[in-house]
Amino acid sequence: MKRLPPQTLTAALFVALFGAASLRYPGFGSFSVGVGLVTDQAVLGLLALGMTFVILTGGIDLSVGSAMALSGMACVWLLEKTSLPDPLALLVPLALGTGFGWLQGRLIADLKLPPFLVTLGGLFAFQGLANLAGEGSMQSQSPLLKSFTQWSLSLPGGITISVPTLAFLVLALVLALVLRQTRFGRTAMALGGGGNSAFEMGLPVRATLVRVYALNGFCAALAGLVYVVYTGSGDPLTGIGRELEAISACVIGGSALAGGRGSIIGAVLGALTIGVIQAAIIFDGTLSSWWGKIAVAGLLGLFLIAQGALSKPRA
Amino acid sequence: MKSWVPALGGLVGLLLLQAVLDPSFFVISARDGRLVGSLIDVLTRSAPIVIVALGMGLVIATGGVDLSVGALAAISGVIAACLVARPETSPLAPLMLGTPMIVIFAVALLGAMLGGLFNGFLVSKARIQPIVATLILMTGGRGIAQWLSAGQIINYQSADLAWPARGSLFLVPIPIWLALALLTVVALLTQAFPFGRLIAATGANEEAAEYVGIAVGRLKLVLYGFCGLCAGIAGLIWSGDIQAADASNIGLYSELDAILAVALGGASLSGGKFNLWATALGAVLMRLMTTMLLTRGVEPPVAMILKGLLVVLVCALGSPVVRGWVRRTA
Repeated sequence: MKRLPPQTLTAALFVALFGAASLRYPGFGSFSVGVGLVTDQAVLGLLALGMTFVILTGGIDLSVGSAMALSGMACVWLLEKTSLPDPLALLVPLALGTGFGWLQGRLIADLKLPPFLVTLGGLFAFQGLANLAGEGSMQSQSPLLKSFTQWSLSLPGGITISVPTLAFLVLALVLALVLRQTRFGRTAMALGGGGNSAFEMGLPVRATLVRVYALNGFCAALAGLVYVVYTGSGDPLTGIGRELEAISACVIGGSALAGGRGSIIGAVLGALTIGVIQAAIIFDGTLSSWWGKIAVAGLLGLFLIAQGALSKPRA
Repeated sequence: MKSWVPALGGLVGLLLLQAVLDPSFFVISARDGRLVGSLIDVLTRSAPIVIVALGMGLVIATGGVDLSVGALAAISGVIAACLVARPETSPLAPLMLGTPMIVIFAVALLGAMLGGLFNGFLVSKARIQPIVATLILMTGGRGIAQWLSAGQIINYQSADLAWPARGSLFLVPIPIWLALALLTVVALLTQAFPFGRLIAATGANEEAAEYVGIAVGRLKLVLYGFCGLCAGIAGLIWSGDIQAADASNIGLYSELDAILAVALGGASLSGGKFNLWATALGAVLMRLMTTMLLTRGVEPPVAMILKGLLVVLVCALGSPVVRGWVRRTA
């Protein structure tokens, strides 16, 4: 019997939650809320895209939240405190994030260190760097940034697509192709699932691992920039707890934490499902923000337990 | 080389350096029935980290890790503060009016321990990787603490509640007593009874441990529960120290401090080898280092960066690959 792909369950959950929220809260089930959802989840979605690759290799990256905060703070700091041309101030954080990801990848691949320890060290180092750039939220007056914030693509039917949405959707599309159609993507997928099979097959294990963590660093840095574009400011505390949300998005989207199984569409759906929960809590108005945290953690727990229960008979 | 040599060496080295830089660091005097001085201050402040690292050390010895200790510390600190200060918006406010302080402490610790048992259940029964299983409470737990405190910082004026942090017995601050007592009991338990061997065996090779008849699942459940309890005790100290409970900040980043202490204590981070005394030395070493950096005018974010780098460095030194390089060049 052919099993349904795990993303079907995520899609069903997303539709069910969205439907339930629409019935409960008048005005929720509109197209603009749906588009807003994608925009609101662009930051988390970008983190989840990179995390998908990391989890596919059987690894984990706890540093993405603070890497994202660092990239945002670095961008605003470069724009406001230095005379660096504005476009460079946007590119330098991207290079920085990719570089830090690459470095973590080298430590994990070459020294065979556990990913969670290396990236936990990264979490603190990046958070420290972000705090160094500024202790609190920092506004930017850069005209380039303003034009990014205000720009939007108008589609027929009154849909407007902002820069964060566009970045999220384009990168999702590109990475979905990379994962399915390139040697790099398929090698990344082969790395996970335990055992030495990828190495025995002669696949370039170390090089691929390094590139996966570099890619994840790039995604985190881009998420930081998108946050700056979205809010017009950098905030050193914005990344706290984001790593859990990103990992949750992947798991809810059907990624197996042992590696080897997962998809980009799953990560996107997972991020949107988390978005529905958060949007419903905001719509309710009487529920406080911490219920979002509790709900996401609970959902992650449920999916993990379900995953374990489903995979047991086959093991 | 014995596993505790680097930690002890580092500690002695830093203390010697401090003796040259600032001899007044070692001056201890008694004031208001309590010893005061920079050295005592470092020891008092390292006590909660020693306690957290103790639980963490045992969990790591089984091949696991607990990232939720900071959040569990927050839960215990917030429960105790809410039961004493009774802020109107907290869901805990109407509960358990007129209970003695000892019961309030017990309930707060129970809260943290339940969190630990939940971790243990996820790891041993649901077979979820420890990193991810405890990640659930790392953020979810902070959410619960924020819910219990209704998102407020709970200030209180209660000498009883602050006792675990500010009290003293025979001149010595209570945190130091707590850390010493816990350390002694647990170290003896693991050294004088087969208990310690069971933990090491589980961490070294879980499958083999199961085959020789060790109840691996139950062992892990108990240890994660104990780790939660330790975090709860530390939470009471941290909250009592400033007579306030802030759900978002109690024990923030303490999981890193505890893991780092375990690593500095020479334990294998993949499990199977542990020495709780060395772990405690590691915790004191780290606190001493942080204090020295901060009193030398190093900004807190820089100290945080250095700590992050230290984690990577310490675990890199333990990596078989690096050991291979060292062996080849030596």
